[in-house]
Amino acid sequence: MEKNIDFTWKIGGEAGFGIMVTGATFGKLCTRSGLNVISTVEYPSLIRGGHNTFIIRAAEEKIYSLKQTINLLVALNKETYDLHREELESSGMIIFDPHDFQPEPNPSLEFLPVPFFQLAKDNKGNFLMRNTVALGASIAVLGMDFSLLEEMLRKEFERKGEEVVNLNINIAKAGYAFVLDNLKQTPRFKLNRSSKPKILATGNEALGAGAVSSGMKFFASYPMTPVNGLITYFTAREKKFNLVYKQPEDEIAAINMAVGASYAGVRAMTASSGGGFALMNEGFSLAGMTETPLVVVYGQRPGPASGLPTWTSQGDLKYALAAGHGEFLRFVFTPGDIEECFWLTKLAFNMADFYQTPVIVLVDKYLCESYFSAETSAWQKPQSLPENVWQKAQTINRGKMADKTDGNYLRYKITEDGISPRAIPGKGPVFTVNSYEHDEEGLSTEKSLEIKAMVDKRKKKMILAQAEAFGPIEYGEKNANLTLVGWGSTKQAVLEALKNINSSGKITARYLHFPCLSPFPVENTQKLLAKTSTIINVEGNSQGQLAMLIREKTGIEITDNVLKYDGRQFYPEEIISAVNVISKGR
Amino acid sequence: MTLTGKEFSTKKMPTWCPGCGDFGIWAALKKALVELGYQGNDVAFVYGIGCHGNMYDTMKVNNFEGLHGRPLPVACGIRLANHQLPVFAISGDGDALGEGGNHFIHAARRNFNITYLIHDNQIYALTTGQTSPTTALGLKTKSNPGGSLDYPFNPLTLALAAGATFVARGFAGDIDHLCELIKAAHQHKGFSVLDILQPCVTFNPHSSYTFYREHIYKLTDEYQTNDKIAAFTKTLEWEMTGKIPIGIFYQEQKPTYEDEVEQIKNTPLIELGLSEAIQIENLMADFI
Repeated sequence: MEKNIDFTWKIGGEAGFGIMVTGATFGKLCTRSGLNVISTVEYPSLIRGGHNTFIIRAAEEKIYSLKQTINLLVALNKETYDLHREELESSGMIIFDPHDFQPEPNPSLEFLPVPFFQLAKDNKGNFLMRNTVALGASIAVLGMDFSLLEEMLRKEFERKGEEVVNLNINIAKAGYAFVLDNLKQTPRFKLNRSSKPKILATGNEALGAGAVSSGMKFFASYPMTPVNGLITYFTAREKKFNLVYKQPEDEIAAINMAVGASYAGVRAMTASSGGGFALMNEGFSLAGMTETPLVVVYGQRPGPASGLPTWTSQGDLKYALAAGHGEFLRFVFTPGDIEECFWLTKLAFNMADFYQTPVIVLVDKYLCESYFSAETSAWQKPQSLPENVWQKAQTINRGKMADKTDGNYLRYKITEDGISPRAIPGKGPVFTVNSYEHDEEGLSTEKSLEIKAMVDKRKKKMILAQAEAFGPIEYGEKNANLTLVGWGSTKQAVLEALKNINSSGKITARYLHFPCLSPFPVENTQKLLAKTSTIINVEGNSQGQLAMLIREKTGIEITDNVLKYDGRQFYPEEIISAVNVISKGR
Repeated sequence: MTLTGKEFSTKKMPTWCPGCGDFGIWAALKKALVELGYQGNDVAFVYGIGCHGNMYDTMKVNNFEGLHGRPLPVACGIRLANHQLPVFAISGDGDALGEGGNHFIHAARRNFNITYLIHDNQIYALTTGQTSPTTALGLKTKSNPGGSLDYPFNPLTLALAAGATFVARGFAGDIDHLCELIKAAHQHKGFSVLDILQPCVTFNPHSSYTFYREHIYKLTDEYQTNDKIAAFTKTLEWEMTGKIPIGIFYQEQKPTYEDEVEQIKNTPLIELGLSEAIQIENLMADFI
């Protein structure tokens, strides 16, 4: 095998051409060939006619992020060539159908004409099966094992019968053979089937798997990009997992249904993006007041209002932190990759039950819908989170429950730590939960002392929960002269950039990743930021909301920001160049 | 043990105005619970916000006092989590038909097995007298001092159109009749809507006990409750003729939503054990 395999493959075409499924299949071919994978999809909010792309970077070494340039472009139409040829590195290759268009000659690029449609037709396929030809062609160029693709096509189509299976395999083989016959050089690499399994999952799937392994049994969510993948993940497996998904009439119903199910005793979750979450705010506050456990997945996309439905953003941090009216404990976890998505969802369920309060897992479109690879150990024990966080997340902990025979049970009993044992309707003492301010019994009150006692009780939980704060997690050179800070999926681009920055020898840099922003890790942040001269905040919004939060919580002011708010995730190149500019100015 | 209704009392007394129709509904409801043989822990009650919602303080059952307009989605969530727990949802005209109109339509078409009581006093009373979705055209209220410009809509016609499988109207001033209707609504398997004419003696003197007593009549056994077209016509009688029928307008047997969810066909969700499939190794298999 050649050294340093690291390539970026991009396929583009019209929405409806099957770009998404082709990309997902190619991603799995890469992980099964032993490569690490990072990918993303870009698409407008359309079903047909818009331009879709699927980008995959695959490498032998651990990678964290995409690069801005590509090595292999599969153009299923001319638009793909027009829009993306500039992204090709020198000696990059374009695979295209000469019947679609003729590219302009360019000596620094390699052109591989493959008659996608003709090969599909010759093998009894139709126009939409051109992507299967393109898959076969791609793996031939890269030197992958065809039997891997054959196996995957067999699994994907076996439900539809042997004829369909063979049709797809033959068409893929036609693309594969055509390239081997016509390629000017040998395949770029020699990739064998790997014996070591890897996970390949989207952020949505990792959140879903985390929820399922936490014993979540009820999920209500109104369809909205970018969290629809959660609905798909659960509904495809709801019988196997003993869970129920209910599609509600709106997001208000979604959160109220989840609160109802949680009150009735099962672990419940809802999910949405900014606009949908805005509708949920009153229900979020209801969970806080009634002290009903609830987990909310919040997948950000650019706003305000409808914004950019199918693009990414970190613009809703301050909104998530302050969600819901009134004073109550809210957890906000901000995972940066599929390992953290899995574990922080598990932690979210335990915190929701233990503190009887709502918990937000705040992610973004890039993380939700992109495929990432990870070692299987990532979901067995996280490498990127502190040991005590793993211990808290690992096993299901439903928190304090009432004694079923307690004749004097009080749902909102004033306790030392502010947490009152929970009961389940019909399974123990009779009780009332109440969105009105209430006394210990749950009956409404407007008496000054009773009100204050109940506010104090909820506040005790806020104070107690402060001990659950964790992070920031430190990456890179411990004694660096430059510190980058960030949260959520930005972690990936920064870690990729760090490799380059620290190998340049000029600057030593480290990264502080914040996976938990409420409760905020005040002391640890102060400690870690105290010894650094230059701090740069890297964030996917226009204000630098994390920098604002750090100042609010610690008094430390961060004046250097690298901000991106064009709907795209960060690329490491952008961070490297911004760091260079800022450090030169010092 | 003989139940008397006192079992359902709490330390609180109602805060309704003297003469409020809610007293009649409260009495009929407790009587119905006794006659249905329920104790407080056998049922869950979900309430919205409004004068109706203040009932939870005086009902010793499993209570969930939620948000304005939102009792139904909470009730649906409870039913999916534990469909062995009978659920009553208590609402008002503003709660059910204004703020919660969307949930009403969808709970009806899904046929969740929920008993839905709408305390319909045709006014927002808790906020001291604004126009509601059932306020009569031209009625002078605090939000329409010159008279309401909005045509009221008929909750029973809407319930039928949305697919409710039990549609009835009761009167807070006839406790025995109302009690029978509550029992019938609850014994019906499916989404049952009981719109209850509730005089508001403080903010809506137009719809007084006297007015209702002069205009209502009870549907007799001759009326067929299984004819949907006839039921639509019957729901329109009040606005067409001024005569107000009370009783069961329509009833049909259809599978409930909960019945149709395969995972919980035999066992309520809350009793279902965690499956082997949720072990991390098994979950991972989908992604390798």
